[in-house]
Amino acid sequence: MKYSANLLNMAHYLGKIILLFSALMLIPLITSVFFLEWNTVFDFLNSMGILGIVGTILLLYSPQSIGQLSWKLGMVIVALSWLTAMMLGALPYYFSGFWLSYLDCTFDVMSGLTTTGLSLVQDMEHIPYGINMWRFILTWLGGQGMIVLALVFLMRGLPGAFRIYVGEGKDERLLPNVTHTAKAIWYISVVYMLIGTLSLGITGLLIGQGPVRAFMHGMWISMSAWSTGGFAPQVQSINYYHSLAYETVTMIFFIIGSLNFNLHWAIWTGNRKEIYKNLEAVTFFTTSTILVTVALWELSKQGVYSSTLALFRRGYYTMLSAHTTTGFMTTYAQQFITEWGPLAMVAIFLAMLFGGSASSTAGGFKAVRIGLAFKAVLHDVKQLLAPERAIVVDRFHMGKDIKVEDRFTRPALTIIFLYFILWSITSLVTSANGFSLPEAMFEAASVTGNVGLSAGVTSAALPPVVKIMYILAMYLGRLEFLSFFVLAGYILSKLRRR
Amino acid sequence: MKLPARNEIQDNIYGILLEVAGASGLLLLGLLICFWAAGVGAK
Repeated sequence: MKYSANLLNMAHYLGKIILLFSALMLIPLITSVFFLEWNTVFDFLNSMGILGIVGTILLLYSPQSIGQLSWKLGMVIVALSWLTAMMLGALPYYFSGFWLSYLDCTFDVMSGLTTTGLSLVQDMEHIPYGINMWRFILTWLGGQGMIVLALVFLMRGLPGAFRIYVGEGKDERLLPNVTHTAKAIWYISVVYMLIGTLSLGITGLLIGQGPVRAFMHGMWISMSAWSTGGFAPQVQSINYYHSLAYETVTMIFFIIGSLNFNLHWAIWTGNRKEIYKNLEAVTFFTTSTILVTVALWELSKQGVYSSTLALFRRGYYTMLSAHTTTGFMTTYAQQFITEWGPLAMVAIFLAMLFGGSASSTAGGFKAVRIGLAFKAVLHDVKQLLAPERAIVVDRFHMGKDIKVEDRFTRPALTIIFLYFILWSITSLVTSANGFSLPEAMFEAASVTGNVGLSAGVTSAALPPVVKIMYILAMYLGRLEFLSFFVLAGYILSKLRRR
Repeated sequence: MKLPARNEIQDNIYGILLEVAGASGLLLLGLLICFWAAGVGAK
């Protein structure tokens, strides 16, 4: 009975998410109609039809959720939702013919949803507006979280909603009610998207783009910057615009995008001191300053970029793009391996792995975990140095003062450890398929941290095993392992019973 | 969805301005580091 109730609940939630995805395709569909791209209109109509049928069948099978969701089932639903979204969200890409295989399409969907930003698309300069719109919707949606979207539109008041919200790696609530939290996340994101579109649209006009192109690029790049996604409508990424103003505006947006939604909400609701008290903001400021200083010192010493402006527009931009896990590029991929030098490479590896903030659009193992790991070490050293009977009490600030305890530090250290393991395995798989170790380690850090910078490894010519490894690394990195482990455990336990 | 009150919108705007100012401050610091690094490279 319990087994069938679980299945019915899974079918119910997955059905809703699939229908939501189908409804979302209306936006690129309308875009295609506007730009008279009739082939793309049919690509989206076909995809919506398939998603509509699958979603309806699941909801007919299970019209209502049963009882309260368990933590385990919440996690399983999230892990399955992301896989289903990857498989079905790839349909318009496949129908468009701009990707060489269905695997490449799923790679790009996972890259978008996880806000990584690597792409296997062919002839990017000529893809239709509708398909581009779908790419950027996926990355923007991934930044906020699919489940957050579902909570706003489809799952209001459903029992156990918080349990699937946590499964997506957002473990804190901005407001006591999880639906209100999801709405607040959306409010912040939509406001920043509008401001970003306006400022980048105007910048585009000033650098000579036509009004339609300036507005569309402005909207897409702002969606991508805020989501720390890294997709761009041009192969050359931000380098295409050759504009200091464009680079500066995108930097401002991806820095803001990499902040914790709780921090945004605190600042937006009058608690402005939080910006310099918050452990995560302080850690991000510290690590980014140290890593940027090391990298720029090396880049300048090696003569890669010699002027202040070149260092700022190439070196600093790339380092911040890596640390916020955005992946916008103002350098050429091969430069990392041939020109950057060992110290700058170590700095960028670490920046990509450290990432932005927890409960933000960013990836990596997150500033709060670095801060907590540092606090844990400091606490242990203090305890060792203190008299034997003394009890050392340390605190950190995340909205309020919290005591440094094992229940906070241990999960942080576990996740950091798991990220390093995943990075190592991904590096080994890449290297075993014919790439040099620096290239492999760079690309592996980029997919594990959901960054999107590339040393030139990622292309449609990659062996399928590497593509699958990268999809898995992006997925695990984004969901922070837990939901996937629960899904794997759940499937194994069912198999063992048979 | 309930629209935010006027003072809430005011708080939101101050919050956005503070975040933009914070990010711009980080960029200024970056520019200073670039200036320093360019000096190191020139030696």
